[in-house]
Amino acid sequence: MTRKTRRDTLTALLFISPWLVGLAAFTLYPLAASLYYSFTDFDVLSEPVWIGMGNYADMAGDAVFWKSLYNTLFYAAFAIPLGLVLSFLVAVLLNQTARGRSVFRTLFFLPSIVPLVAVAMIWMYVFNGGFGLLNHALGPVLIAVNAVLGTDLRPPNWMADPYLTKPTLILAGLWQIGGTVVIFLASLQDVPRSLYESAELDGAGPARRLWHITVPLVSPVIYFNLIIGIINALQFFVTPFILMPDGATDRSALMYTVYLYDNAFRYNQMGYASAMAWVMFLLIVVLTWLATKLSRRHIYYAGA
Amino acid sequence: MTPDPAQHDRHPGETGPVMSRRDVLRRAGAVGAGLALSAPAPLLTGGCVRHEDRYTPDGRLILSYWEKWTGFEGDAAQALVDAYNASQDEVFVQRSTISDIQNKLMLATAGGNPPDIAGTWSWVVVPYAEKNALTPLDGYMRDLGVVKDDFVPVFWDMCSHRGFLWAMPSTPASLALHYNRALLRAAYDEDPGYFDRHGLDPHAPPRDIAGFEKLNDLLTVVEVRRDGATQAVRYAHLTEEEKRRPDERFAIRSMGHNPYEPDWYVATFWLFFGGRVWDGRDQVTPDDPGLTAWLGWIESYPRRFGPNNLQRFASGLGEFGGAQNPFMSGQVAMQLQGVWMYNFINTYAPHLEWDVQAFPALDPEALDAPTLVESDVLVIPNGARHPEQAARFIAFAASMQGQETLNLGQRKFSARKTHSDRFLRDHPNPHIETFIELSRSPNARPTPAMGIWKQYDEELRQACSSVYKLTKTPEAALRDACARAQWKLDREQQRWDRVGAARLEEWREDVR
Repeated sequence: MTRKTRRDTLTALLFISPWLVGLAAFTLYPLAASLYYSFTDFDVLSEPVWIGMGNYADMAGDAVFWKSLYNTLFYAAFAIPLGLVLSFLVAVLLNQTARGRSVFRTLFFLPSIVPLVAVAMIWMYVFNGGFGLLNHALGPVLIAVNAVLGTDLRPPNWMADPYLTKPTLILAGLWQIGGTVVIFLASLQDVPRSLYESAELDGAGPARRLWHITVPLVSPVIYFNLIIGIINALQFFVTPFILMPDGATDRSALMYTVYLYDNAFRYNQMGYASAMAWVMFLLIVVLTWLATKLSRRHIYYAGA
Repeated sequence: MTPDPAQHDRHPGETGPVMSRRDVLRRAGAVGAGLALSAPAPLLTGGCVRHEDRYTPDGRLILSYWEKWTGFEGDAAQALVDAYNASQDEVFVQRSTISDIQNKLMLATAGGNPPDIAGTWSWVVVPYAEKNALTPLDGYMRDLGVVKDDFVPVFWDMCSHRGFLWAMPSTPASLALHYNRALLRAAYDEDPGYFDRHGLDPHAPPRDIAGFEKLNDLLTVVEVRRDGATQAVRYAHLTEEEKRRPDERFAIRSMGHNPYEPDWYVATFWLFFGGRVWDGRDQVTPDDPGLTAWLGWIESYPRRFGPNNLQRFASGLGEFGGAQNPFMSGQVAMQLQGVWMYNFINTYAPHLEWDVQAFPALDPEALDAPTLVESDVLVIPNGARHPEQAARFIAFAASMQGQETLNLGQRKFSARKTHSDRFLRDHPNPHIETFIELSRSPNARPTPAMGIWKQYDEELRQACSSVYKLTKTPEAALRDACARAQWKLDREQQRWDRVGAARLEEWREDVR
């Protein structure tokens, strides 16, 4: 490295130093500290005590840890594909030339800018087992069904029945697909019209055009949204924290991040919570790697 | 060698310092870097820096006092502070209302910059003391003449742990059964024979759980289909067939009692069954007959009224702090509540006919006048800058004047054994003496003095929830809850084994 290159490098580093300092202080240090704490018994108020792999060993035997992990993976297994398919279809619809298109686009995006806590409060009223809006709507339907079939079906208790708590959270999570829709919409507008026209001339119908032209050409964006979806689903926090803070009956809806929060800030077990955070990090890395490996052959990069 | 472009930029004949573009950029970069490096410094160290002492214009040292109360409770706390500030001219206590005080106190203490005085809860004392987050008060209180003999023992004891005093009670409370006299009377008027058959008193609920549940059956009103129409019927008047499949045969309109209304104490009802949750040392007690009886009692609710019915009934109830409160609106006739309930009744349902008495016990002969007692407390966090001055304020708050100023304002009672004549005379709660008597009962129990109590309580709540929804038997739910609690207790014990000796020595030094 010449003297000038060294000087230039130094100058460049000085210019980006605000960001570097921020990164070091607010990202790298907390990361390193949490890694260290994960090997300690740390209650926040007193000095951490080194216990090696103790927290990780405890985690392996902690039934609630496994339950929260199962709940989160269950949620992710349904919420990610449903969210992707729904947002993609909505984006395709919003990409059509129709009157009031911009109004619809705004309406679909609107829930994404409503604060999550406010949305969760609304869901509390929607899913309330006694006077909830959903059960209010279901009531007449079930009366009709009961009259025809002679059954005794009643509106369910969405937030208390252990079989329904996770589906309730999945339904609530689907509401905020606006951000994903916008990304899909942008990519859909990049698909050349000429390809659709050629396919149309060859006799391809709307479904075949969607499957053979649209999907391959937006596949990088589907992949991107899939990765973001995995991360968001595994870190799903606000809605379950507000709707079912104790995880509902038998902890059937206790999400991983909520249990992590409980350990960190309610039980003062910051060491254990840090270990949980690192396990979550590794899980996200593995799932992202897996998604990348499995989808590599199916992604088409036009410029590549 | 690369020529310096700055040389080419310089005009002939130009003298003096001329800066090249690179110099300008370099210096700007250096300034930027300097700013960037220095700007976060206060942010990073702010939590750790010890600020200078603050003084009032007349030279009084300012003490910071964090408290959680707002509204009339905040006004009462301010009256206490004002009285103390007027009583001396050395310090000035500055009260700040802090929301989520528990977490903020923890973070401020961990950051080394806590307030001088903090108002928190009695259940915080043990876990915080164990974590060395509090200042032992023994020496200070001894020097200030504050002695145990002046206080109701249970309130002093709940502020002590491992032989040290960590807090002083500010606003104590005991729990009692609140009941709606009008609903009791209406039930008697409708079916006096039921009262006779079951030996019930038309003026007050029974003192035993079995009789209490008989009364509950009569006070609970359900909607049932009879002769093609929906009728409101007392649960006790349902036919056996109608009772057999509750979720399918009826819906609940109002209840005599429901342990989940409110759900605050659902995991502590065991004390009315003579239960014990641990041996006081290092073992939880899953086989305790009182605990099993308690969960069996919880299970009797969904068995009688239907798990889905109970869920629907609960989800239709109004908020606690409002006119739709189930007790005040007559949807629940009897509930376990604390001394504070008067404040809500007085505000939202001033015409309610209500009374209080001890909550019934499984065996009232063996367990007379049982109650759960708790207290808000004042502590000096470890690392507070002015512990001596803070202790003087706490001693003032614990004096008869301080206790009565605060607790008359908050309509609670004093933690001291004696009170002035004026205190009872001026107290607006017509039932305050019942709460005072209950707090002095030999069966007044505080929450267990365990560092993991909140977590244990959470596990017991889960057990209750599973039993209440009939997803687990009481035995299985209790076994699961206690297994987890034991695991957590063992972890805590291991930690204490590592640090305990040093900590005890440190505390002994502190109080010397």
